[in-house]
Amino acid sequence: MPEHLLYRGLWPQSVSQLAKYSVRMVDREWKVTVRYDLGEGLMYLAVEGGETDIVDRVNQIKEAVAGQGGGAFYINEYHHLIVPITRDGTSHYFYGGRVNPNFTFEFEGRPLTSRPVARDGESLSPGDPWVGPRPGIPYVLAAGGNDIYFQTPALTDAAPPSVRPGVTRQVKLSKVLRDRALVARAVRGIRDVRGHQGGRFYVNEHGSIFTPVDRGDGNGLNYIYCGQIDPGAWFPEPSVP
Amino acid sequence: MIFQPEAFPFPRWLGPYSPARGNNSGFRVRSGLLGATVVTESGQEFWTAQQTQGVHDLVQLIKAHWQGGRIVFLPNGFTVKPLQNDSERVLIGRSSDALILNGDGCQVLDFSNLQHLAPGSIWPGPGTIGLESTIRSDGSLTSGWYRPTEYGQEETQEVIAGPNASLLEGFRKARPGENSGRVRITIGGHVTTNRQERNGGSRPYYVGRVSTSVFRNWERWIEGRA
Repeated sequence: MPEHLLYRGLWPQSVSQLAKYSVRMVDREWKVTVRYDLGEGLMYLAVEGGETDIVDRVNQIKEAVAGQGGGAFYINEYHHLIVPITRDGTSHYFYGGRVNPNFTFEFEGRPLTSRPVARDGESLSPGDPWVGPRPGIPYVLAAGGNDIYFQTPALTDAAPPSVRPGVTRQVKLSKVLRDRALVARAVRGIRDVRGHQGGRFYVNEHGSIFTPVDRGDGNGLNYIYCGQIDPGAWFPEPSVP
Repeated sequence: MIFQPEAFPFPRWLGPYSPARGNNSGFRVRSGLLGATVVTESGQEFWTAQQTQGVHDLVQLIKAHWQGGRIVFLPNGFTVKPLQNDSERVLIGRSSDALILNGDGCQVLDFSNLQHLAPGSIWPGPGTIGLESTIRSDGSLTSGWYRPTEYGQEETQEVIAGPNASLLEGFRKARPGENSGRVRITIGGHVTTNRQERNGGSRPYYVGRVSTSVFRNWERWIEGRA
């Protein structure tokens, strides 16, 4: 049995139920599913077609570490499969390998993808409503709108890594890049939507950025597309086996 | 007070620590004197430490390296100096035995002799000294601190003292109706808390004492000595 290693990158931790994929039993078959809410109530959508490799990988880790299959997983902008498992009352995130997802779901008879396209198939522009599924990795636009950071539990440098109890890392893009112009490039699209107050936004497996915004119209949160990450002005890919 | 300095260069301190809360918080060396600011009815007073060989040695060390500034006495006596902008902290030595503060008048606060202070009574000394912590509903104490890193910062949360019913009782006397809240642990393990007063201000109250033996194993926070 292969050893499953803790993931050295960002652990999403507390995110909405809509912000994660899940392997669930659908018609007696394990499938990738996503919770979806377009204002008409919450529903599960199952991925159309293949992607059984991802299902198998998720279940392999879940069964090996937790003793049973099924459950949440994430795919980040580096195409790393990340599988959370609760151990000793806290979530641990395991690395599930590199994947190349192209999830398509069906909603109201039409395909729905996590790529930045509208329901009519037209490409989204920054500022447009994000209509796709919302799984993503949470980042924060810092107050002032001039930096981006994320928080994640700290791991030891040892191999295999383990969790350093009680220690959290806050990683700032400005500290990582050490280049104001690059940071300015990274924050621009998000700040255009969120303003100087900053706040949480998500990056999905296609590098699409979207963020929840309350426009004060009484309709709750609207998710707005902020553009694509620029790999040259972003956090470096975490080291993986 | 007895002060045992660390060898130079001072090791980095990665453990429990509380940042400055304004220009008058905590212990400071000012004009060659070690002391802390106490808020009294007549205003702010800088209470100074009674001169002992240890206090003299500590002040000389601070003056030699930094001219003056803030220092943090941890409950176990570890003496920590924050460097510029709180960006880094170093362990400069270990303090033990009696630390005595003298007020402007005849007030004296002897940290080794506070048996006369009942839990729930007004804390007669500085309210901004000691390690910031949280007392939980079982009387245990937790502390959280930040440490700048090359990629941003690292935050650590740790239970530094286990459940303690009498300490919790003292906290309830100091802040009636509350079961948890912010406290400070001074050198010698004395615990204080700031209580909101009716006039909107706050005042420090004595909660009780924890044995400094519970803060063992803090050597692991000295860089390179894990």
